[in-house]
Amino acid sequence: MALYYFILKVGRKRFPDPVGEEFEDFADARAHAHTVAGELMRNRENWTGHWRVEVCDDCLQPCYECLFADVDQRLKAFGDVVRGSVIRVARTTAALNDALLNIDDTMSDLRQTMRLLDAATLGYSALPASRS
Amino acid sequence: MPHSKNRILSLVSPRDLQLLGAHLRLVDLEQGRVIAGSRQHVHTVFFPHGGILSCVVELKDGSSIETGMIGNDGVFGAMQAIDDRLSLNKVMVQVPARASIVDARIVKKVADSSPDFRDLIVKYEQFLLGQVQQTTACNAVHNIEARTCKWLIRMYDLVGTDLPLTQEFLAQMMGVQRTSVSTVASQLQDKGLIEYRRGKVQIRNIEAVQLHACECADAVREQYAEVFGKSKETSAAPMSLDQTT
Repeated sequence: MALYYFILKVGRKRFPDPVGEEFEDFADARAHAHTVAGELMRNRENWTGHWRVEVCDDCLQPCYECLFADVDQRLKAFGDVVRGSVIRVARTTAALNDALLNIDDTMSDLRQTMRLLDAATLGYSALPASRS
Repeated sequence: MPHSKNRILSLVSPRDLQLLGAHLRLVDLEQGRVIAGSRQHVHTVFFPHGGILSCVVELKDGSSIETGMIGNDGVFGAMQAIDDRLSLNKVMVQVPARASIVDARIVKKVADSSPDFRDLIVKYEQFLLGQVQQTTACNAVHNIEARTCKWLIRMYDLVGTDLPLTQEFLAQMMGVQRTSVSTVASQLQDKGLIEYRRGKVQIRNIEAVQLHACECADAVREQYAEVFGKSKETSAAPMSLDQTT
């Protein structure tokens, strides 16, 4: 048995299941992710297509991502062209959210670096003049 | 009188209460205890003083789902006692509490002698049936977040803001995976609606929970008000005798 964690990705937010679930193998964990996606999007499929469930191993390394639109059974009724189009839009929206999240992270890192730099600069300017 | 902490018992006439009173006993109901199995005879009638009894439908694949809740506003087993009928589904203790219990034969005897008492029992059964029907519609049509919020409101009405519940139990009651409940709880926590710690849910903002819930929570409250004449203004708080009488 192996432990897997499931993280719901909604826009730029992440909602982890901190407990995790044990499964025989990865295939079972993947099937569980599909079931959970189905439950979370049921009766609100129109606006949750870009949501995702990420499956991580016991070291929290991502090993699979389930896009809700991919497992939305209702879309089959609309034919391959429409279904493919909806899935593409959902995937693009998800990718855009990831990109925005990366920008947020980068900006956060940059702010932290600048704070450190400011502190170092203040420390340097406070040194006795004789050292220069 | 401790028995009057149950709303149904508080509505029983003094004469009928005297007939029941000598046979009523107080018991503590621990979480998870099954008080009636599916298709089993009911020998004891339960009048909870608090907590929650869940009516659960079990399916052959091992899954189960809750279809109704009974708290201090109700009674379990009285209707079955009157007609010597079976409990159609499993009934278990979801939130522990104290309850007044009485032998089903005593309830039948009092009901046979008192049309008022029988009427009260039938009224509650009517409300419970309405609640089950509303739950059926809710499970079919509403999304998991709205259903979770509706469920929290109903529990708030019966128990208050602190709910001793594990995610496993919550998932079982809602008929979904624990992972689904966990992620929905994370979302509600992120919005500041609840606080979820291991084995315990605390409702932080009931007004916001109501905004996220489906119409079913209000529908159940209105059904109760129509049957028992409870004012709507008092329905958004834990039910107590101060508010219901």
